[in-house]
Amino acid sequence: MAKNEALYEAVLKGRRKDVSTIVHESVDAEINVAEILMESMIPAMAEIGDRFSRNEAYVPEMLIAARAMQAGLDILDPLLAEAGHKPIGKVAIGTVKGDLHDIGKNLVAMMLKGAGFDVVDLGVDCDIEKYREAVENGVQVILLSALLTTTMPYMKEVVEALKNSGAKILVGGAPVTQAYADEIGADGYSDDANTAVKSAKDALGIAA
Amino acid sequence: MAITIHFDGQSVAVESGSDRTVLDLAREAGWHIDAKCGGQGFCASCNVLLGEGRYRVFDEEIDVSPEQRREVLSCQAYVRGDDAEIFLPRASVISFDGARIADEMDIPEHTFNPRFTKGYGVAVDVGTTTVVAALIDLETGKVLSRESLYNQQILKADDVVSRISLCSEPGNLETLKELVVDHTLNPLIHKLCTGTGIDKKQIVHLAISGNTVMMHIFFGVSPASIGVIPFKPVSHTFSSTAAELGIDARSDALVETVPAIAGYIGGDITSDLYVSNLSGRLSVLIDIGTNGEMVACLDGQMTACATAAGPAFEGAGLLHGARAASRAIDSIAYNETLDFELTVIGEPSPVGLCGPAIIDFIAEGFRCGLINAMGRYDIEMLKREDRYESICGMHACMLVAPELSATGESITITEGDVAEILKAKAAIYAGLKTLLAELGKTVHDIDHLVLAGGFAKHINLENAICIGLLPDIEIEKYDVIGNGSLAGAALALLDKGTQQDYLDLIEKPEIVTLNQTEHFTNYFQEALAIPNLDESDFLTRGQN
Ligand code: B1M
Repeated sequence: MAKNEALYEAVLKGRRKDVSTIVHESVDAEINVAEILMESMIPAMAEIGDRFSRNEAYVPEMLIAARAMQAGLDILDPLLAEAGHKPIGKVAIGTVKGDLHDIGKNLVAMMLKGAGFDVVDLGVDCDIEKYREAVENGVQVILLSALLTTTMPYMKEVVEALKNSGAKILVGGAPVTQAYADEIGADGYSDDANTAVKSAKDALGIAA
Repeated sequence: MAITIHFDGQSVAVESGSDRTVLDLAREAGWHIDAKCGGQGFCASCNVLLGEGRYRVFDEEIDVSPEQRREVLSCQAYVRGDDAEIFLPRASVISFDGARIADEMDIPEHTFNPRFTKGYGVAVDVGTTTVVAALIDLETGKVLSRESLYNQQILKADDVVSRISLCSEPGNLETLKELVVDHTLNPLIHKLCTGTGIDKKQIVHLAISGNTVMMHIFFGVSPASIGVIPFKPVSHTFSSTAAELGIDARSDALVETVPAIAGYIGGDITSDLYVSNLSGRLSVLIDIGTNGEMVACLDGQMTACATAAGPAFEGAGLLHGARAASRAIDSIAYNETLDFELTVIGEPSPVGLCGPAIIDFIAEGFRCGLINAMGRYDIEMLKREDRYESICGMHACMLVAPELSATGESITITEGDVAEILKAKAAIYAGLKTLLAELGKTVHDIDHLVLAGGFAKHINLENAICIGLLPDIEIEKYDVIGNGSLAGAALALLDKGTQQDYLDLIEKPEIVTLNQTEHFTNYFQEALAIPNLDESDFLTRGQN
């Protein structure tokens, strides 16, 4: 196993340019792409997520690290697809209708990818049909994000419409609470990107 | 027993009523509980302590014993039975004492040509948080008196979007309208008239300036459409009569608004823009507040946006945050010995700190090495100077020791608080950068930057630049105006030509939808660091 300390540190500290450079160098040196991702980059994201849960890192640090991670993923994604990487489950995430906030949603998506999920990003302003289509395409868990108190009620409509679809529905975003999730009958709730990964695993019965 | 509510050494008994929340009972007792989300159970600003009694909280029935008080959301709690003890923490009660409200205005030069040449006019700035009114003699053009009050709608919800959400339930639009007209504007008119000895019936003209949502509610029109894409207002202007709206003035007095630019860029910004006298090739107007509206003007071509900074600069969401009112710390200076020099509004002992003070705190901390570029503390330094506290697992800096504060508890700033401010300042700076990028410009091209809004008057500009809230340009290029919104309303009374100028002006700015731009997210993330990850933006003031 070969953890690249410099790459790990660069992701953790959010140094985007360093991440790109090291990933490019590693790819050029023909190091296994899955190894670059699994041994150095994902552990760094997991570490920042854990720190976040322990109140030792906050949203700014996490977003800056995620940005650096993304720079690496942009290079690795096409190569990983070629290598035929096997995901632990298929999930979809999207911000609900009327809402265009996607920074938090993207962070959740990245953590899910980091945990080994195949993540379908439905984007922003998603109506029920968009979520339904994802379920029809084999998605097992749907994650709904909302940042506005005016768009949050739409989550209820989605949950109701997809109740019998077979997919689990998880909700989150700044104004959403556990109490609200219970009220609308969602299958789960999480208040940050790290716990969203845990909820998705729970929903599929995958051990943490 | 009975139902007794305790606050600040006083106790008041109230009638039971199982259909009323504890929050309503406390209001009946005369204390205004802060319900930032509008009592919808989303936030924790309305927390109270339940003493002995039976309650229902959310859907759970609970028994509380005298030894074990329970902390709950008062908007979700009901008393079961006839006896209960309820204790209100200081942080949950809104104090109206000594509020610092921007009521100074500079009315620019104008022709004196009022629509009504006899009687009196009232210019009103209806803010989400505060309302200011000025009485003007229409025969002479003189401003006779000014008065201000909190917008009583804050008893229901803090920000405009929460108020839009409230309006989706029947009856709430009417309640909010009453709160601003009957309980805010009418008392202001009363004060203006008794102070000057003028009869209310001689008020013939009122000009109202405020954000678009406030204007809808004021005129009893649902703001629902502004809550969802594409955020279109029902109308950009409103007009009516005093009798129609229930305003204390001559019944046929004309009441009209300063026209709004868009759903999130209101008549208050139209007013600011009109009175701020932007000069130079590239000039910018920024209102640093919850919505963070801004307008850039390049050789007459205008772009505008709202950046959704959030209410952190008003102290909301911070552990010991406070509105700029009596007993709020409003400035902080220090170095690596962490001997904090503080100023407090009104009284000597503080309850918390307001926006300008936390900007000072972060800037000084960054300069002396207490706070790093990610907004994290040097824990060793805190411990060495006996300032370290750990609160809910968060590292915190003790600013005021328990024996020196008005609450008997220490006043602290956690790393979580710093992170909240960084998000708010990042939204403003990123909005500015994006707006300029749409014009093909950068912050360094700015010739003139005007800051509007009550908050801007009280911030230390160097410190605001140091943390990366405002651009690193020469201080001489900055201008801070007083309450431009009030001045804009006054001009509408003093010169009948202004209304047409406003209508022309609102057509000019092209609205930039930040999410749809290529750069906003990246700029926002860069701006989360102190002062910014893009070092080329902060060459003169970026070093610590
Ligand atoms: C199971 O599934 C899950 C699980 C967990 C999930 C999850 C899904 N989704 C999220 N999570 C969770 O995990 C994430 C990581 O920990 C977290 O995600 P968050 O998204 O919470 O956190 C992010 C990592 C960082 N946080 C953010 O990205 C939001 C930050 C703030 C500043 C903010 C921003 C940046 C923006 N905004 Co907006 N904005 C504000 C915010 C105020 C603030 N200071 O927080 C807020 C949310 N905005 C608001 C408003 C009003 C608006 N905004 C608008 C626009 C914008 C910008 C374009 C400027 C920009 C968005 C850019 C983008 N591409 O996303 C407008 C609406 C646009 C629309 N239709 O969506 C507009 C309506 C108005 C305006 N002024 O233009 C307010 C909402 C108030 C309310 N009561 O609802 C607001 C609180 C600011 C305020 N004014 O008070 C968790 O919530």
